[in-house]
Amino acid sequence: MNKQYYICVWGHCDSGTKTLFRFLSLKMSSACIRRTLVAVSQSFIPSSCNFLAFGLHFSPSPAARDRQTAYTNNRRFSSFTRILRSENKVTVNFINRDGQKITVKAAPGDSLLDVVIEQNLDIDGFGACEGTLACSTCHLIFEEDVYNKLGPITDEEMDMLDLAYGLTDTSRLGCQICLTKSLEGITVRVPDSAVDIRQPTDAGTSSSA
Amino acid sequence: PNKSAKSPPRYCGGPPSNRKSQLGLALFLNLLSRSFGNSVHRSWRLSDYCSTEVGASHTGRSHCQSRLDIQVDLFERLPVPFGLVRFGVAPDHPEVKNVINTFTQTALHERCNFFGNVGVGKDVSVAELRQAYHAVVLSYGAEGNRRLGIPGEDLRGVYSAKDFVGWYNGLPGNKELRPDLSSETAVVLGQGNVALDVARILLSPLDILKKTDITQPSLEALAESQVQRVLIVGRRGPLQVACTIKELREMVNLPGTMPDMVTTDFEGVASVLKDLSRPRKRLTELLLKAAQGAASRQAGASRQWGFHFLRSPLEILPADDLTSTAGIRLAVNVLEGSHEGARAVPTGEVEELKCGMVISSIGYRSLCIDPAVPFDHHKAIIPNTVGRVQTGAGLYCSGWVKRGPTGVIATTMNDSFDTARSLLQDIEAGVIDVYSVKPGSRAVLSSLDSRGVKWVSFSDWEKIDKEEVRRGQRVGRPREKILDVAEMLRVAHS
Repeated sequence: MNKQYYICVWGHCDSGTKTLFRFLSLKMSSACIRRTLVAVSQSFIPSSCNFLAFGLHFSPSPAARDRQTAYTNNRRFSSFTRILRSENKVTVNFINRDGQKITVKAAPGDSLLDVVIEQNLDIDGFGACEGTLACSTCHLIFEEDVYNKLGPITDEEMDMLDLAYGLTDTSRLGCQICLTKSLEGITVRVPDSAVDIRQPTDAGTSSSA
Repeated sequence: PNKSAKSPPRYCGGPPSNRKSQLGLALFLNLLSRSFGNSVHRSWRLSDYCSTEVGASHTGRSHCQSRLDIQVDLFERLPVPFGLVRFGVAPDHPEVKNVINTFTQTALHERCNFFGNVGVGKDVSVAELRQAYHAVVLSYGAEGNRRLGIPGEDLRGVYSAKDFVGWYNGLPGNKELRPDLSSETAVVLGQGNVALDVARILLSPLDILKKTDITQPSLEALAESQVQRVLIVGRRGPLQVACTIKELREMVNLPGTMPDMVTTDFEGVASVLKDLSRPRKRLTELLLKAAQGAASRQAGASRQWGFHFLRSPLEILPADDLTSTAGIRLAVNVLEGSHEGARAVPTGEVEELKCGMVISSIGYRSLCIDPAVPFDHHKAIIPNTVGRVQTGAGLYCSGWVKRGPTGVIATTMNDSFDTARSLLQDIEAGVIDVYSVKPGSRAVLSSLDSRGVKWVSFSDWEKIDKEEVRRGQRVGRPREKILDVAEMLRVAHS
């Protein structure tokens, strides 16, 4: 008989909660347990805070692509919340590689990767691994004061960020940054993805005859 | 039914109306309209433009994605697409394979066609392709292997990492490898991510491997494996390892294993940490932590792994039967210079290690598939200038066959965007004559049919895909790969 586990997370629907959810999803994924997202409830409290509760229901079962499921469930969930608070949009500006500025409005709780996908932004090669921390193609550069406001960075994110071309001190992966009202009006820069056009022998690889 | 190979001249103006809000097409947009504006659009009305790709892995796909107004045909030797994403990425890294979704979207585009089971250089020549298409891009990767060039390399028990990875990933050519997993110690030569993949697959608990798309025969062989210790040997020191931190962290955290390294190899490393770039610093700190045993010993850790530095292979030593491996003789090195540029210099000292299996992970090598294409045998790449091959207009290369066999998916993807840009610049500059009428796949397919080559369309591949997933579901795995080309063709054409 399958044991079933419930974890209930209750907190502000902001990047902290979303990061915690992602952390739990990823950790559960690495233990190969299938998750089903059960949205428990959402309640509004008369002040500027919005609280969100969601539960994660686990049952041990053979599963493949748990991270894919996590991402899909995550996105369905964020669509659900978006319907409920469609008036609370956050404006985000992207400076593309060619210098063009793209301004969009997106819902709090969406990651910057979600924004690029759902709004069909013209950024080549963005989000190849679909938000599962297996690539660095959603690399974005933030302004310093914004960077300092962002949620904590996990080792897993930093590991992938370390591979990104044009890494800066204010770089993050877009799939890990969730929008909140406090990020209203930010500008993020899409870094160049130019490949090193030296001869094929890169630094760091063995150089022998 | 296969999509038609040739599409009528398109009117290109205004926003692309066929852009779906899905990952594939959304992300890889009309590079041409952004860069060059209307002047090039007008020329499309004057002729059909056909371009072909050789090699349907992520390099080939990225070209399709960069330009939506061109007809692109992909030719792939195997009946199945995706190249290393299917055959190279480790089975326990399924999220890295998500990029297949992006490529599938591109392949399903009305102006993109996939032709599998077609060997360029064998079933059709590059010259024939150049006659049939306005441009040909060679992105067939590196299917060869760098040889060690030492005695004993051909003993039983010695394998290239390419073949070993191909074996557990179901590459049809490596089906019969039957690696000898009967000895306690395995030595891997090389300290890159492929070497770590090999070590991790050798030492992973079966519970983890059982849930992946590793092939059934490999799973059964690994279940019987006696390998308890893997040494990952490199010519240089800890500051020169080519692997990346994610893969190292996976080794450190691998259940049932513990690191076992010689701390003297790390002398002087701690003092230079502060001068290193952040990625190298974090990697080295983790390596140091593992070596010093500060990483928590896993409960019940019976298997061991470790980096062995400053050793170059001299000879693989045979057992008494003279056909199987008993050990390896290594030269002891010292480093001259520092950081990335440091060189390994032999001291004259020699060391011997007992082991029953040696896996050489010192790099892949591109092969020359058609003598009509220039090839640099020393560097094992096609000589090129930003992707343009020097023999006349309309021939390009991309990916590992262009730059050499290093880099992750994102590196190669960006490289292919560069080649696409060169191609588009050549169209704009008139270097490629878009006014000439080219027959495209029509001509190639009729040659293939007359030669009895049974090519596989993308929808045929989807049948293979469905069948693999179906077989996998029966045993609780993501898929059970078909290991045999004949069987792939049978399923594809059923």
